[in-house]
Amino acid sequence: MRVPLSILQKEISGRILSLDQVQQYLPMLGFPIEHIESLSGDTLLEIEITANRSDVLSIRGIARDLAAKLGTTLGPLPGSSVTEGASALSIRLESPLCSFYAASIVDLGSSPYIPNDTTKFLELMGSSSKALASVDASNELLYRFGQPTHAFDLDTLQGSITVRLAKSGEVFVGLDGISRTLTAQDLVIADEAGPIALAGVLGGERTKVTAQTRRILVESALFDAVSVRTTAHRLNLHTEASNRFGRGVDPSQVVPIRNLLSQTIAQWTEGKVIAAWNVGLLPLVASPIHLSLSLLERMAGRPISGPDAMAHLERLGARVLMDEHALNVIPPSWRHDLTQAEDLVEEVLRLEGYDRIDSVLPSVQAEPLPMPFEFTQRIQWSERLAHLGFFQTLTFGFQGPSDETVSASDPSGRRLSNPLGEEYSLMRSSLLPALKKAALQNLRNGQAEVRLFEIAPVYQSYPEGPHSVLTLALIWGGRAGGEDVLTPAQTITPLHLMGLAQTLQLPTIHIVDLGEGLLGFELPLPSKPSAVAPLIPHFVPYSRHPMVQRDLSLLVSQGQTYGPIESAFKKVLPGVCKSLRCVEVYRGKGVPEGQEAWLLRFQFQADRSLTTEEVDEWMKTVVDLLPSMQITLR
Amino acid sequence: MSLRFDLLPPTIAEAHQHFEAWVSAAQDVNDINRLKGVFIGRKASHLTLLTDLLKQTPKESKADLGALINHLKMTWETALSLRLEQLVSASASSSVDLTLTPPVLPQGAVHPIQRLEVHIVSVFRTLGYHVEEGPEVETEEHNFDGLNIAPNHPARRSSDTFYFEAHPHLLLRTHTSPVQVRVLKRLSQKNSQGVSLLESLGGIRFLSPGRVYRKDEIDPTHSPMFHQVEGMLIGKNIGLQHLKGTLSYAMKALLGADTEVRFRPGYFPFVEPGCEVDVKCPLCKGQGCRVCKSSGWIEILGAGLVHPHVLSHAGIDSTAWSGFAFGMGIERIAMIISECPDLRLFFENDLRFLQSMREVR
Ligand SMILES: [Zn+2]
Repeated sequence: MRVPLSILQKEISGRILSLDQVQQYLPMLGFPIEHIESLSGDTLLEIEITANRSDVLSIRGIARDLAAKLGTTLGPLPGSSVTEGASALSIRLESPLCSFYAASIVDLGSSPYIPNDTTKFLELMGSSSKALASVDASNELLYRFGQPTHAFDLDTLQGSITVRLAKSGEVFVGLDGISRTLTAQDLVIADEAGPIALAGVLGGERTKVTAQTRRILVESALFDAVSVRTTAHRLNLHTEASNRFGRGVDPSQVVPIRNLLSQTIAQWTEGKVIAAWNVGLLPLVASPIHLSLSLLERMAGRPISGPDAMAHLERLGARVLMDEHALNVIPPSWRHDLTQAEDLVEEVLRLEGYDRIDSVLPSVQAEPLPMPFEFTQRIQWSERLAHLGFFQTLTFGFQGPSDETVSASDPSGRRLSNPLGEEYSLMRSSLLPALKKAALQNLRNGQAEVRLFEIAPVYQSYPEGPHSVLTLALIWGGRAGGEDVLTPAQTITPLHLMGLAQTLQLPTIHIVDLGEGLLGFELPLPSKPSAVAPLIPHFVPYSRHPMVQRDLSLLVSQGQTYGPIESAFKKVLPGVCKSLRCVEVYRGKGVPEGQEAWLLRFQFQADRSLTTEEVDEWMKTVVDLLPSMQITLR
Repeated sequence: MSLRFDLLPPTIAEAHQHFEAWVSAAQDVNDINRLKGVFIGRKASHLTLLTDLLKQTPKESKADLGALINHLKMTWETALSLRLEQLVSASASSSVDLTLTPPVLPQGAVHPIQRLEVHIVSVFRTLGYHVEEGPEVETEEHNFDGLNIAPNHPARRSSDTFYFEAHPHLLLRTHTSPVQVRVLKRLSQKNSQGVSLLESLGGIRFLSPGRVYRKDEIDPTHSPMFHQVEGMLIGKNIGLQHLKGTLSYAMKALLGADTEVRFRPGYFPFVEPGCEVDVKCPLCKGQGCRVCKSSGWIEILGAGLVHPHVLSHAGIDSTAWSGFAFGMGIERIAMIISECPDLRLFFENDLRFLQSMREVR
């Protein structure tokens, strides 16, 4: 909301308001200042308005809050001497969406006068003079007082006026020259030839005021806020008028603004107000809200006296009746947001100042509850993987149809009705596609090795909607090492991922070859702990006797796999063989063509000292197996 | 079975007592070889002496002495070869050029957004808050109705909120506040004695961090997905002073002890009164700069006293219970702390960014 300082000052009587005061008070009243600039000899403030406060969509509305805070009052609305009489033109309110319609007829004089102040003001507001008294005056009053009005060229109207719902398919041509097809939900002002205005949103082309206009029909009315908002949204037609009607205007201003506008136009053009009359009924005064002083004290954290609270509310325009323990408050007609006691507490505290509220830590008797498993698990996994050299990524929860795998659940159950694009149209069934994109981008950026992981939900389609499963995905690829004198370069292979899985004590993982040297896996994380794992495991005594190590160098034919051989050896070895590993595979010099040399390491340990002889005996059982496996000792 | 050291001849027993000291005193291969000769050599070593002794030992002690010899042999062999390895690698390392590029162990990182999330959670954990998580796919009821958001509120439009094609009542939550509704509904449930969970707990305080979605195109300050932390406390006679006390403490714990906090009126449908919480701009220290729009303050979170409609929707008596709620954007705070001007960097997963955002120790 734009606010020229000079106009703001004009609204407040009896006190000159400085820019410093405005800067100090507005944010503390709930209206932060977005921007301040000097423009055309004035100071222009750009003020942020909260969505619930329709009454501050006018300079007078903002001045009213400031005046209440400063303990002063607003100047009166400029007076006018328009007298109401009988209807001069038939206006029928057919729909309850328009409850009240104030009209007047003004004979325009021949003066083309528009005050310089008005022209300058409209420019400050980001609008501009249309060089038509009825349009400029209407706009000025809208910005200053918040009541949108409209002027029709009376001589273009055909017959009587009806405020009604549009007929479905009815076409309306707006002031902007654009034709729009209406629905039976849109409220229109119509003459006998069709719609002449989209109520509370936009005037029509056919009846608009031009330089040739001699007589005008002035409209100042009340339109239903939801109806205006719905039409403006459906047509994507957000105007100054729809913005204000859509949030609710002040019913008490409808007639005064009709009068002020009619008289202003008559004055500027040296014309005359011919008639002024009203159709329909203004809404009844709101019923009082009961505000107990104990509620006020509880929410404020300190007692605030009845008279003090009453004074604040009265300054904001409310009518207040006080008894010993409570206030009965009739909110002002412009405050549609005040509907219950808590709203009034906020008003009292806003004027008291939030800075006067104490700062106290609550004392809560309740015991703290435990942290949920899924949260703790997510944090522990990420820290574990980070310590192992992996970087956690954050990708969006969407994917495109091309990212879907055959095994994924029916994508239609995961499809968004309004996605940002096809590639963001599904809730993802896997984390790997997004992770792969990130990995590839990093390889392209010159990273030799990528180690990435993500922990996030993936989705499965169910009849009742998508279900999420917290999932861990990891990608490892490129070339590791080769960046210092001791670590040889090596390509990341699936064996690296098998090793990682063993390190992480993961059950079997399914390694996916993602292409371009990238390998990955993905696994769902449990939603509950499998068993209550103690913080420190139960003590199991370990052997303090020396460990005996034996190496065995074997010649095997290429293509033979290690796993079955290890199993066969373990079968004949006693339990005291605590470890059996293949620690080296060698091909080349000294090894016959078509064969390779394996270095196997056996480690034995028992609850007693082992003798050389018995270890030799066990090794012999292994060696005895070799011929049947077409393996020879090297 | 315990070892019978008493069967050893005194000279060997004494030698064994000194064995460890001698081994650690060995300075090179020659020292080790000398010790090997004395203890386990093939000729006239303690081991051969013991083997000879075993032959003359009476039957009843033979097994015991055999076990002892085995033990000593293993101990001596292991210790000597271990010390030898140490000496060899030490001599190798003394000749290494220490100005060469050394191997560095790989270091990864937890994403800065999650680190901040964990930090925020830990700050509130000191006040007794626990974590409550909720799903990203939510119902309109939890995301809007239960939070006193009007049926025709603009935030419900498909231009602002993602909906599901096959499930028109389901959406991607636009904030973490629906967790409030879920928790409150759970707390309102009564046991067989008619006592609600909230009554039996005596109150609750929790945080709910998580991802939220809004239909925004990606730009330096917008993203269709980002993270929030929601907080809520429900108890008896809770007022704005408690909200202020809690958030002032938390902001200091989060941003530094000298953080200045300011509360001013704000509007959110699910709280009343509502407030915006500002911190003194950390960049210009309140002098006014581009980041704080020359106001000297930066808006950091929204809060307020829980709206009675939110409590009553969940089946909680709003005359008996009261509370406060607050919510903050994690990326927003990360951007303030790191002075990183572009939100997109947090989701691009560029290793150069992730490495630069690594924890400093
Ligand atoms: Zn600043």
